Amino acid sequence: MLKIENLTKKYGDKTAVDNLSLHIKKGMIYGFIGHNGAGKTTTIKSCCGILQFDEGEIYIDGVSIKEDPLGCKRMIAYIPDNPYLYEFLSGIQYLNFVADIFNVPKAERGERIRKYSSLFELTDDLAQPISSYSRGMKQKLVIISALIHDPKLVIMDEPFVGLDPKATHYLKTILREICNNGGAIFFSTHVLEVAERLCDEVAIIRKGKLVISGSMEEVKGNDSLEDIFLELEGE
Amino acid sequence: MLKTLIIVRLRALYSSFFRSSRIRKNRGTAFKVLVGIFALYIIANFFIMFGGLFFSMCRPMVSSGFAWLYFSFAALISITLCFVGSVFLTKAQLFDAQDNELLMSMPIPPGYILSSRIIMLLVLNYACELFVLLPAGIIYCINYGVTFTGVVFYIIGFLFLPFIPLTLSCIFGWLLAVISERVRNRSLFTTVFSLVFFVLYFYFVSQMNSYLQVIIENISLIGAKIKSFVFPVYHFGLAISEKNILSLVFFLLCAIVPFAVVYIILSNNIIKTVTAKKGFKRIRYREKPLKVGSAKTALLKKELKRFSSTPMYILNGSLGILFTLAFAVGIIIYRDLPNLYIKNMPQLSSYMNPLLTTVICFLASTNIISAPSISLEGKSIWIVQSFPVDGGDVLLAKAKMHMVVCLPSVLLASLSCVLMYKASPVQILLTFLLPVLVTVFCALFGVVVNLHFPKFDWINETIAIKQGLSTVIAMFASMAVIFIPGLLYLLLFARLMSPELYMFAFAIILGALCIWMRRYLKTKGSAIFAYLG
Repeated sequence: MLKIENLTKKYGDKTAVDNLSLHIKKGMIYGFIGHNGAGKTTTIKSCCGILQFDEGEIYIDGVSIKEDPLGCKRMIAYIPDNPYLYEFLSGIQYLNFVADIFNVPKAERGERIRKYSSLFELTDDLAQPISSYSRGMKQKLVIISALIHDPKLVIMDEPFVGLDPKATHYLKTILREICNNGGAIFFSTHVLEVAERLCDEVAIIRKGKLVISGSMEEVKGNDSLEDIFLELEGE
Repeated sequence: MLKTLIIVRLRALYSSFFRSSRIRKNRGTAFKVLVGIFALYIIANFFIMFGGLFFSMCRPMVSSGFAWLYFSFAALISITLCFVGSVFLTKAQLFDAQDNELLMSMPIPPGYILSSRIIMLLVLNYACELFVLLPAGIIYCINYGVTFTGVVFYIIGFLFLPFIPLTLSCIFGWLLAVISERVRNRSLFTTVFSLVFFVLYFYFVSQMNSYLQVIIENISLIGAKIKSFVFPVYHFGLAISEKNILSLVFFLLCAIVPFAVVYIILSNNIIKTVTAKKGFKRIRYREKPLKVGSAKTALLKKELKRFSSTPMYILNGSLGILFTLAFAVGIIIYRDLPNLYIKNMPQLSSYMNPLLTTVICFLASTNIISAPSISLEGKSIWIVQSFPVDGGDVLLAKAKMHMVVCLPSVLLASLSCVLMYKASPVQILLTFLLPVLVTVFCALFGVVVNLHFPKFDWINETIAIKQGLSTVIAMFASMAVIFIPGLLYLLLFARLMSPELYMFAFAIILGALCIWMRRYLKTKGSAIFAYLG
């Protein structure tokens, strides 16, 4: 579903991502772990087509993000690390705006908004301006908007930050459902326990370079993911 | 600590004017020269405007023995300009800045935060003051010579005069912040308040020449009124014109003491005001059928919503609409006025329609709605960038929003013009075509400029709207697009062709430029936008 081939991104003299290759298959939840400044967000933004990269290729379901960015963007949903939204819109206006952009039919958008806003307990607040939302509410709104067009691939940067335990639980359930229906999830996180419990495969990145990747069992063996991460970081 | 805060604030001020968020290599010499010429053009505009005013005031006032009144007027104009230029920025900087909470959480005395912001506002006031007091001083010196004491008193006066408008804008800014906290529809309140404020200001400015005549005719009476009611500026004038040290001390006290009082009050209340919970009436969502539209319509609707929900955006970007509507009504009310001129000067009749069309074009060019539209995306730019929509469509939606907002008033003015004055079919066509083309040009040009000079690191929308380089460039360049061809016609082409033919040629050039800009936004602009931010 997502294939990253020899991705390299430089900011001036600094190489943020160095020859990174990953393959996220359909039906898979893929965790992306690394220290601050390791190159996770750069990789994620490159995959979403909002950051130009210097070398390599990224394919979404076989389509190159360089050659057909709009085609790729139609298949994915992106949840950024900070939910900066249009504060001048209300929650429902924002969701309807996203649905219009993705050309979601009327009945489906209504049904999905109803389902997810109820699940994340945001229904009552949908008429409120986004400027009055707390960080957690904004995060929930971004998640709902990401799910509104039934994406094949969900790319998330620290998606659990700001969510309460209930919302975190529901998000994990939804992510698994997407995978069961043939989709895939690629997300970065610092919460190693979540990654350990949720991910089918994991990659650890350090200073822009891939340190290790594979199935959770292959990567951590009998240790915890935290032990492995700290051991690799201490290298 | 205070020094650091001041440096940060001044850097922010500098970057808000001169730096764009777009990462790019060192700009070439040609670009720097262009920016320099542009800055000189803006400065020259102000100097010519105020220089002309003071030139017509200086001799009549000084020869009537009212030299002090000359300087008092200069001070009054300076205070007004500084106040108008800084009152909303003062509110935004002191009470609405996004980094207020961050700074408050640090071990920084609130007084330091306040001081650093006030010093930044003071610097801005000095810049505004320079446009007024410098030409006033130069014209006085040319006519009556320079003395050492006069210059010293003048410099002291210059340094302390901005404390008066600063005090006033702090009080008004604070009042605005307190009231807007308590009203339900803050956006509507601020828009209405600001509109009233600007209408009064522009009414005053438009009546300036007639006031000047009245002032010169009743100089003794007005002098006496100023002496008794606006005594700080009276003493400012007296101190400079007569080198009166007592007056200088009195003026300084009038400038510093109220400022100190306001500063202490603000300093004691700033935590309370800044941390006050912004009131929102809680509206419970009730499901209604959702309106479905295309992606392009959604983008346009989003831009319109952004525009209508930001009072500062409405006021700064679309004041031209207000003037255009006033012009449309004025044409109907004063329909006999041009005919009166034509009666006395029949040769004017063939120029009346082109002249009115030029006025509508000029008014249309004063709208700069699209110029900050990309900057206003701020940190939420990721939303449209991650969507499966062409960047060109996002950019064109911004230009379309400008057109949708501005075209009705422009068309109305053209209609008034055509209905009230006799015009040939070609003139009728041009009366509609040219203002529409100017509006389309301004809309597209604003987006193109903003694409190259975006500003995403603002702490308040006001900074993106008012201080961005793109706004300044769009404002003056759009006006120049009307002025320069107008001037060229008067100086060169009037002898060669009729105004209609010239306007038609101008329309073709403008149309071609619009087509080129549209293509640019859809192609290269789209590629730039995709990775902006």
